[in-house]
Amino acid sequence: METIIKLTDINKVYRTEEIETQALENVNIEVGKGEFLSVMGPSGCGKSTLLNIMGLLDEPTSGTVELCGTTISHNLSDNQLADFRNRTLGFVFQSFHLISSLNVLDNVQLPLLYRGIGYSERIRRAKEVIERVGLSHRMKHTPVQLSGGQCQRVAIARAIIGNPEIILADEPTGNLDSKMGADILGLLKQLNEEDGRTIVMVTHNEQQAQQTKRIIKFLDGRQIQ
Amino acid sequence: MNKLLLYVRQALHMMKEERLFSGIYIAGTALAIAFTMVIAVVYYAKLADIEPEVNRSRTVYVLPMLEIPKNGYELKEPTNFYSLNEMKEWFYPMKSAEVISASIKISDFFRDKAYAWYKDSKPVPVVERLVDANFFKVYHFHFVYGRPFAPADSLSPICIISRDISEQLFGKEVNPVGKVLTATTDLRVVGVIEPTSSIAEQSFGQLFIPQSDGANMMTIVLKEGCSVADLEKELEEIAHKRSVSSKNLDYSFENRIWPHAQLQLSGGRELSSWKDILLALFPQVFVLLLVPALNLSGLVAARMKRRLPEMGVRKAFGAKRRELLHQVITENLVLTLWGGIVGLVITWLLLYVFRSWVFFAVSNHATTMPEPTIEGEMLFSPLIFLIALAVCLIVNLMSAAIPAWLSLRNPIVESMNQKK
Repeated sequence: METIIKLTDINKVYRTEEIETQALENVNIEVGKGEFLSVMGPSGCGKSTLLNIMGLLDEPTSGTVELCGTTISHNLSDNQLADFRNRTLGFVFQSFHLISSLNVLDNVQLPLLYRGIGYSERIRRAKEVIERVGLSHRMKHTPVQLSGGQCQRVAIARAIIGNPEIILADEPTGNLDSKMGADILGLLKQLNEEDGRTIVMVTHNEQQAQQTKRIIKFLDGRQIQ
Repeated sequence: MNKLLLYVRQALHMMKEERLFSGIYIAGTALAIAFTMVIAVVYYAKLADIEPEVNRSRTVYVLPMLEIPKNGYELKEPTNFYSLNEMKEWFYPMKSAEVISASIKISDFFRDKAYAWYKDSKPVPVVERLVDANFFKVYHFHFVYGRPFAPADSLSPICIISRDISEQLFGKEVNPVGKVLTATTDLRVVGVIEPTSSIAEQSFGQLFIPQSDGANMMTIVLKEGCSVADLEKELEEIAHKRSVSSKNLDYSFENRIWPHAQLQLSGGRELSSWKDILLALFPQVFVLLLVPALNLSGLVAARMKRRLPEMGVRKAFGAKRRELLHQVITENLVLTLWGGIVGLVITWLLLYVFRSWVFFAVSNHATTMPEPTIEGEMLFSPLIFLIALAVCLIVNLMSAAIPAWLSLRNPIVESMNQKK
């Protein structure tokens, strides 16, 4: 299987004047194309830090990140990283992170806006993915008018609109009840199985993790399984 | 363009959501803009080419020549008057002048109030001017009835009055041409003009009587393409010729030639148009805007802190810092433009309520001038709107760009984890 994410000897240390915290220690992970991987572990074990580093939202203190065959070097500018994220990665966050002053349609089209795609094409594709997540009737609604599950569906639509190879989901069901959680997981599985998207999902939920293709576990910044 | 529309839509949505912030921001911007615009409008009304002083940008006022004794004394005394013959012989042939009007300095006129009456009516206070036929070529008056003065009128007992005076003396909708009113003497009305604003004080008058004695000021409209320097050269040649022909006196126009803007601002500035004045005023205006802009930037900084998670998400999905800066500035501009509109309304209100004080603050004739009327042209000129827009942009950039840029430097994860 072709490797799409490769983390080598990743260390992440948070330093303040008084304290030094090792969030990740010598992490080595390879994720194959089309995999659905769960990352599990207790709070504060470094799962989200790992996901942020994979998603180029944060930099490792040391180690190498390779995504889709490209080694992410320190020399890449902020703009180059932004472009790379835009084209390669989609994010789903626990607290949705939708923009409250934009409606569903505008929230979903955001990645295409930064890719420089024209208005009509953006709208066409946004409608398409909104329909796919089952929210065609909510396009003009703002996030405050939606339930948690609907917000997460919007977030998923936003994550997939740019057709990224990789979707990184940080506790996507963490703020949802079990039924909505199951719905969202079903949607992610569908994206993995039907579209062949690679998904890395951080979760606390053992039952949900069992439904993914592979699980890795973390404890105190180290991969234990 | 689409991005711009999206930003504007978001800005309008946020305006509704954050009413307190928007209200304070708009009010702050409006006041800053209003103060600046009051200055701009006052200078515009006094210096731009507006009715009836449509030739201000090429109007030059020439005071009597200096007379310098040839015996070596330094005493310099201006000659008192240009006689009409002198004007015809020496000045009318000048190549750089399109029109020359012989007039009396307004400071010599507005010292005392004059009165006019008709038959047994109550005397009406009037601003009286002695002018020649060319006065009506230099300034653009609208005649309701009758005609302007002709060169042959210089010794005639006739007058032109403004419509407001005509209505007070003869009644409304009455054509007074041919009727005789009394002022310093009996004068037959030959024309009625639409009243003009006393803000245009060089041309302002309510009772115009033909000039017969000569002038202590020449009002010259330069030919298109001619400069003040061309006129100065010609005038100095005249002074030289007169000096050569005089046994006891040398003549000079040193410090006697005043372009409109310079005269209006009581001299001291080497500026020839109101545009130069505005440029010269820019540092003061900048400081005037800086103080509110700094306060507003504090507000923007606080708002940016609240919006850090949004900025983090946008960056996560590929937004570049300059795109986000563009977005914040555009959103802010929506608020600033609202502030600009409110500011313009405040400007007009301030100018209307305090018109006497504001427009005569730099005039020596405030006590004798009637309360100024404010013409639409003074307030609604496209240029005034352009200036207002420029001021909006400056306030916007000063208040939004720096706090936005600083907050956008935050790392993505830190931004996204910021509590709203």
